[in-house]
Amino acid sequence: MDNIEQLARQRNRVLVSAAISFLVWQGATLGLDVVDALPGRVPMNLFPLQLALIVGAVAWAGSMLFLLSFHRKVKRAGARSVLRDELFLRNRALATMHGFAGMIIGVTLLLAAASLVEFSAAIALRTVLIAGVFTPLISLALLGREPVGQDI
Amino acid sequence: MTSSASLGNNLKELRARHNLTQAQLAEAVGVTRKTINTVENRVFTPSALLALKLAAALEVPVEALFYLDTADQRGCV
Repeated sequence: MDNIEQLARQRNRVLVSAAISFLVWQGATLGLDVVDALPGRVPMNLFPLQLALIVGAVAWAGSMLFLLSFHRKVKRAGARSVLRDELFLRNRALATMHGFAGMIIGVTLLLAAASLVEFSAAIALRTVLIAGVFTPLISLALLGREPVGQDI
Repeated sequence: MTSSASLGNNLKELRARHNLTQAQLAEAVGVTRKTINTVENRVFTPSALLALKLAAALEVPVEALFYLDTADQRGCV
């Protein structure tokens, strides 16, 4: 039973690491896209953004490997049906809805912003992508976090 | 007639009677400890299948484990 709880905790860590690394990677890329789109040649130190992009991309690749390793552990433990119990399935459906809501909010804000500033399709699409990937991952991680209090 | 009903449960008491932790009960019915915790705290409403599994694991009829908790009870004729 400890093994199941350990796997559930590990699953949450996978979700959080994937969400944060994706946000850093794509957020930095979005930042560079925005700087590129600025009118005129604005002298700017892009090193922090470039570093964040590399760190984020490497972290994202790492979290995908972490995910693969997690799936193998679950298969070896024969724990798939327990970890995908009805609470998890409900939480996953909720997280998917949150992701959808995040994308709708993102699109709405972009539409409002489009009446004030011009920006490329790449900037718009990347913003929606970040909302659509980050929101459900972090939502599922929050919904699945460890119950508070002792198990008595 | 209006009523706002929710699903009440005696899970914690019955679990304690059997000297089971949430994790032990979770293992017995094939779910995670968090599921038992959320059912106990009335955050999550279990399916009929899970309710029956919990009742079987605790050796009680399902009506002894779960009940309708109506905030506003009015008789219907």
